[in-house]
Amino acid sequence: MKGTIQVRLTLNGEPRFADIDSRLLLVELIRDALDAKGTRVGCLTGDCGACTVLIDGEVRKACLVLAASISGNDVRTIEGIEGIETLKEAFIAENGFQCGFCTSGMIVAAADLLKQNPLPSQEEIRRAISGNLCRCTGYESIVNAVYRAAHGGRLSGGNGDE
Amino acid sequence: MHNQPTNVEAAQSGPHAANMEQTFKDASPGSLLGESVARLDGARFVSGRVDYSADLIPRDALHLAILRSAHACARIVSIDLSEALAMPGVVAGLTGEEAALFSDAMPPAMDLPAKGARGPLQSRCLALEEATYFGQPVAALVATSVHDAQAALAKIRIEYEVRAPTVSARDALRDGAPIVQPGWDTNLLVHDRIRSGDADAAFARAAHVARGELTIGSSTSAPMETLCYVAEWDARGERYALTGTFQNPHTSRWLIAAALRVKESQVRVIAPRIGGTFGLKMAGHPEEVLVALFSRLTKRPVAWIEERRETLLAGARSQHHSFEIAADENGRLIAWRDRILVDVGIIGAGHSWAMALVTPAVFPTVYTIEHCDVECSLAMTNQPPWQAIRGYGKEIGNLVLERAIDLLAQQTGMDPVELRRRNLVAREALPRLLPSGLNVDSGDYPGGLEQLLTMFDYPRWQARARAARDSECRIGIGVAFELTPEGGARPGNFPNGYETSTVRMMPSGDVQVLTGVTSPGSGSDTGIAQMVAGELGLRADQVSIIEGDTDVTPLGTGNASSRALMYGGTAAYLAARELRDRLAQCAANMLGGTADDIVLRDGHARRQSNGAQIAVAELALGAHLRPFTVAAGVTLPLEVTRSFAPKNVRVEPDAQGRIATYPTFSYSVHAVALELDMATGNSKLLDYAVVHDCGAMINPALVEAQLRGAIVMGIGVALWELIKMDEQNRMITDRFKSYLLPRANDLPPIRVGHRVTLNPFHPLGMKGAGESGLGGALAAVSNAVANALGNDACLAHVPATPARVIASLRERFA
Amino acid sequence: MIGHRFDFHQPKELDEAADLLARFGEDASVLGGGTMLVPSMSANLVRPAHLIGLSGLGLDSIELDGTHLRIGAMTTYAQLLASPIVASHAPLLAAMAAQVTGGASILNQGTLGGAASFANPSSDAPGCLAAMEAVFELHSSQGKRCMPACDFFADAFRTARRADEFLTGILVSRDATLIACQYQKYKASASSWPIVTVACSLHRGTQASVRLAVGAAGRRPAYHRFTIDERSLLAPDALIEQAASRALNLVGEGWNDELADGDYRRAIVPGVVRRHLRTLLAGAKA
Repeated sequence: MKGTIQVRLTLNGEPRFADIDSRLLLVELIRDALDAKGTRVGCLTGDCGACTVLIDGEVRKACLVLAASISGNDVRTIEGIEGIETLKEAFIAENGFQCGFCTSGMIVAAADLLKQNPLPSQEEIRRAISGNLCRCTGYESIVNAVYRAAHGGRLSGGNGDE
Repeated sequence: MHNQPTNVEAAQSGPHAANMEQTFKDASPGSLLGESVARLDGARFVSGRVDYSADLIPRDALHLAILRSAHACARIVSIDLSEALAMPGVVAGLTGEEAALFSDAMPPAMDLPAKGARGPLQSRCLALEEATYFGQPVAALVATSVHDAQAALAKIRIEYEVRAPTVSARDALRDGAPIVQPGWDTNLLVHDRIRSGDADAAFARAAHVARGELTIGSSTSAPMETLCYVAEWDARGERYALTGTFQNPHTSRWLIAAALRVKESQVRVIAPRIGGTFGLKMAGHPEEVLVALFSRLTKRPVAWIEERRETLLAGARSQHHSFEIAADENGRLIAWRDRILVDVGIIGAGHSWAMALVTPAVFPTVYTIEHCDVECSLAMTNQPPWQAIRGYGKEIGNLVLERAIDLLAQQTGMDPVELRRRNLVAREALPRLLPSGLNVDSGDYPGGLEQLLTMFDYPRWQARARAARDSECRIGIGVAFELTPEGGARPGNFPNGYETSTVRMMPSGDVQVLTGVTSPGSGSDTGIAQMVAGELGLRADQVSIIEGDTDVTPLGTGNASSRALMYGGTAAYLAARELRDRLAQCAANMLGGTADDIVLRDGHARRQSNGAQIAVAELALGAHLRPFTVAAGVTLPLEVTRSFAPKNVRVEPDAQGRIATYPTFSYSVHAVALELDMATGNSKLLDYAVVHDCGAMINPALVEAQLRGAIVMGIGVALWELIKMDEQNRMITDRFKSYLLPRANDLPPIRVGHRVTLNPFHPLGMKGAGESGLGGALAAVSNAVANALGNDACLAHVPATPARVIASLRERFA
Repeated sequence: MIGHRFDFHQPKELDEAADLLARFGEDASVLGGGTMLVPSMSANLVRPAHLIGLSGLGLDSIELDGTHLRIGAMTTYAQLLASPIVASHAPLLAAMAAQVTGGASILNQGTLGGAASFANPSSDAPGCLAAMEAVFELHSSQGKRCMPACDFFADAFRTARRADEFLTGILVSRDATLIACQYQKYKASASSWPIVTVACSLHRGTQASVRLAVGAAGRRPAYHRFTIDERSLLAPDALIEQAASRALNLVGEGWNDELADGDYRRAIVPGVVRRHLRTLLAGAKA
């Protein structure tokens, strides 16, 4: 049984190598071995989405991926996803966070949504973040933030869809 | 910098301007009170650059893994760590017996009730001799990696002598029931009774009486960040430094020092940014002591990150209500009775059992019910100790009364909204004393209800509900009020009653605020910054807030009962005003004239009479470099510490022996429409509106954010959130697939309206926002489900899970 | 976090994977999307010494030939949703995939074969695949074998897959007789797993038939194919009642888990069966 394995990947555009304990999950590889702490652990069962990252361009939950299964993949985390400045500004403007623990995962999921669907409806946004739990905001400010980033204007307060 | 206009600002100029009393009348010219100032450090939050406790674990730290009792009630016969200690990476291990050589049980964070029972707390870091609840820590070890630590757990050999657990309050109070908590001679922690008037007589003469039963299941806060503690023992300095998810750093410091047999001054507790608290992270967790103990034994930093299945062990709220409500022939409520039986589980160091005593203290909330008789019994069982949870018991009192009112409406055929309208306390009738002794400061309940009805189309929903009566998916409508006492100051709670903040201007003009309150992630630090900045003519982002370090920040409660802005912020505000006066004198020294003529604004001190001005930063530097001129006649340093204690607290018992420990009373009124699938019992929310009044709002956007989060929590408790135990009282809902939290696609948009009635007892008119909304949402949604069921079923359980709904329909037809 | 040591294997050929499984037997677990296995390992509930990853075997293709639609076992829900072949030839499957909650991450990581192999009663795949009379293709060092859904789904969390086998594909017959279909899962909220699912389809060839599978209510999917005459199509109430009670019988004692017990699941089966058959057959009257 191998105690240590070497893992090779590209993290946020940079090639990285790490000699790690073979038991690590991808989220541990990212946080502990590669010191990118913006991706978080909330549940270890793939339910909360705090560990959401992009692997080879696809949204994945990093607590469901073994570091041992990573081999040259392109991994993007909150610290290195490109083209999210508007999204980040919208989150600030709409108070799309409180404690912030879910925020990294929310933004990664939202960025992926906007890539696939640049003008989502309120319902589509809610669906896209349905894999991300938030306990502070009640989600509406997050939905408003994503809507604002996509459409450039506010979702009218509590009046439903466009 | 400032957000777009919120509902509040729009309302102040629009048709609802009458709802908003003029706040902040004495505000300084540069005041930021009432502005929806953007969150400090927003860029860090959205970039993943905020450090929570788990991000600050030193590289050389050992990792703790805890063996938890597999049984709810058992004698620990033996524990053999030898095989576990031989596992790779393992450095040390402890059993309860071994830990007891080096540590004591934590004392209580709050005195047990005066007229209640007494006995040793189950607050050791590792159980000694007896395991009294499923999940109780019984052994622990540390290893160089968390993986090695958890692998070694499996090698601990533990032998239990398992006993039948006491699984309900009813069982606990039966004659001859076994004593649940070792060293006690009863399972009844305390019995309380709150009375006003003559309820028996009122019930006897009542024209209408509605009765009901409600069983409330166990639920939990589930913040997204689990507990995390890191301890370092400094052998040279003989001090512990703990970093972690401490909601009450000073309380934890006190409890940990006592448990570890060191002086309070030998412990430093640091709380970095926290990922939500909601009561879960209050002081008294055994793991706080465990990490420290191991760090001392191993002379290495020791870290523990709780895993979610451990976090979900911590529940509260399980209780049963048997209630009745009486009305006269005109639909005026005249009497209220409630018999409450609470399962508070095991008593540890935490004070969360007190929530069960807060529940009856809110009656009769916003209604004029003269005669009340409420009894509650708190029974100890083999359930984990209650962990504080948002609402702190108030949400349950509101829930039960709102259910009763709807039952009465159903029984008499009266409209639920009209029944409420007829019985709301008038604005002019406040302040008024509740039977519990609490003095409700102010509020406009009738105005709130009317405002809500402009936001929620009640007649249209009623028509839709009637039309859907015979279809497979019925529509239910629920309306509910919530009265939310805040700012709790209960004698014997450590600490309590006041909060302290220091405002300090540094030579460069930078401002720091050191405060004894902490933010759970609500942004209260932003609120404090704007309260201070506005007095000093600065922007909020020019003020840095230092919280949560017991070596640095003044003694305080941390985060509890919505006190951060109301007390800690007000203390900082008062300190800032005094600092402003000192700076004004410095400016007068420089510009001539008197301090009264000086205004601080836009980073400058300006002499009104001739327009001369000087930068505040220049004043700061001058006061430090040339104190005898620039700061002539001014008390130095440019640092002021102020404490703020609330008025409207009464700790001397009144004629009924009651005290008043909550000084402020926010309220809200909610309306919800939902669709109930009669074939499956599933509920789907369709529409939601709320009106909320927490008095003066320092930052309306932050207030609204709190309210929305609380409402969604209330919805979760009403419909989905339930901690389940098996027949041996072992928890089985150990992940988010089985403990069901609301998700974004479960919820409709929620419309929020604001109202402001100023708290006459608070200098700024504040009432506190942090828990408001949970109880109202819980009650309104429960009412909506019951409304959909109509006379076809009796809703007697919370949450109204689909299984409960279907079972209740079957019972009716049986 | 994972406490036990394991070796991770990423075979590139089917036979290589089969040999590894044959070699390690009970000490090995097959890793598909990881959505179930990895959390169990993180909680130290299972401790396989060897993990055989299937992602290097090219098992995520969707192919159509003259008689069948073949879905590779590692096909994700995202791929199912994006496939026009699935939309045209397996609309029931498309409908099921469209109701998978949890956002893009679950769609990208969850695999149809993984879900089928896990055979959690409280899930979508078993009921849906039973209603489609899917055939399961298993590979081992002893060769390949196929079996129908009614044999594959043996019990709660148990399929007929041997320890030395792994699922390579799921086959669905091309069916020109399919007229309409309905899929619906029932659960209390987005966070919950499915509690009861209904999958039904109407076929009209030389004879008319209805296929009905109730999933998640019992230990195994409760599946039946009803042949029906034209008269019943026009006045379907009796047929619907018959189907509802047959489904309830097939469900048996009902499945108990943390979220719902067997009594509740059994209690709602007839109502939801009626609802969906009514809709299915009402659409067919035209």
